[in-house]
Amino acid sequence: MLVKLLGCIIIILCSAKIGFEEAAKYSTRVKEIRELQTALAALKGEIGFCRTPMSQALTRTGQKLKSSVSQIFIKAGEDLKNKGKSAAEAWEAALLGVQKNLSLKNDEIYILSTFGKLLGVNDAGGQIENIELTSQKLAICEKQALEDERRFARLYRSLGIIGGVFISILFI
Amino acid sequence: MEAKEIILGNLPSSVSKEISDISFSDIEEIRLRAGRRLAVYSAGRYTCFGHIVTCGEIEQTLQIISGSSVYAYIEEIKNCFITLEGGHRVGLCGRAVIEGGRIKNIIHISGVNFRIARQIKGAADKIMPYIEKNNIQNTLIISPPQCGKTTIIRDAARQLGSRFKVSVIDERGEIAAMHKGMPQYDIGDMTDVLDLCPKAIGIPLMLRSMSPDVIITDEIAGCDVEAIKQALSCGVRIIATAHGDNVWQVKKRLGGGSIMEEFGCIILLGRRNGPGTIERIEEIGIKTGSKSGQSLII
Repeated sequence: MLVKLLGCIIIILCSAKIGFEEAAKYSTRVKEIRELQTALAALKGEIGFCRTPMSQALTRTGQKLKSSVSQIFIKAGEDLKNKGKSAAEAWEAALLGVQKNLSLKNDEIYILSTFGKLLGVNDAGGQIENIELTSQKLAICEKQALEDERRFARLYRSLGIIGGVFISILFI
Repeated sequence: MEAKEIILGNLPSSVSKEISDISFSDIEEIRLRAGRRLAVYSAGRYTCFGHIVTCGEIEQTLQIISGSSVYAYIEEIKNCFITLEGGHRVGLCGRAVIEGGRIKNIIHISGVNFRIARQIKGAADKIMPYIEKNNIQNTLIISPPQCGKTTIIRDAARQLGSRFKVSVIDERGEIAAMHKGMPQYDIGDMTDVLDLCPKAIGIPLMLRSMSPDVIITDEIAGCDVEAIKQALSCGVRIIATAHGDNVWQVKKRLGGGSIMEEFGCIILLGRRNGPGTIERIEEIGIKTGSKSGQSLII
């Protein structure tokens, strides 16, 4: 009986952990979108006011961030130091490399990919417009991500626990 | 870094592999024109390669030379050139975007010209006796493009810079080829450089800030005349270059004769016997006439 009870507790804990992890992805997605918006504002400053070359601007922006999002900027900036690569190529490669560590959904990845295609190709006015447009698109994504978090985070947490209890009952 | 390494590093791989095997010792220009063959100007003649340059390659070249930071080079792009590490100038042409009568940007770049810069120590040896006759003479070096004006005044800066306070107004970044605050060429121990600054603004600034004995600058035009007069009125000597075929042409372009009278020595260069061939030297009241026709550079 004690073994069964111990097994049930392990199943419930594991199931709850999966549920909580799934729920956390929704919160992380919101945080990452917000961090991206902060990063874009910093990049806008580097390009608009300081006219910092792109490689340096991306690296500096990345260094100001805390989450995994920073890696897109840092990797792209470092990659761009190697002559022969365009900013679009460096950005796309960095995005592909870091994507699996992010909680961002395809919508946000698509927005970031589109943003990268215009990186460094025109004057400061054009770059700032690209940054602002991307920021606006991310603001819409943030609203959607908040709504998803509100709807699904609690659901996954509850599902995790209830699922564990249900499986335990089945075993007993 | 060597010229070959710098130039190949700034070309798309599809273009650089075409010319990676050739010697860069004689190359003066590498030209990329959209939809046409890759051309190299070397030892006085053009060689066309089989590779047809695409618009994409030209676009990629601009991305590479600007470090994907077109916005950071917009002032240079407006002037149709970007200077690379080592002082190599990349000329650009495309469609000009005009706003209020001024160029706002150059878009749809269709032609790129890599001009390989070289330092030739001793290039100014033959003209130094004319520049330093009794006192330093205000000197104007006149020639069409690609006749070695910049190479010669770079060497004049090096030689004068070992004994006098020299200020170089390097509007196009070709004389000293400053890179991260360091000159890429030997320009003399006492030479100060104001980099990428228009001459009309830079000359008065250097007069006030660096108290030079000599100001050296490249490719003067009508808009620089007032600043040059100001420097001359302060007792500072000027050594400058100008594009042109003859004195009359330059006089006309600089807006009359008054400024020309200030130059104690006018040197005309050609490339009859290679870049830097002295065609004629005119000193105040003395016309030495045609010189030996010997090249200063090669």
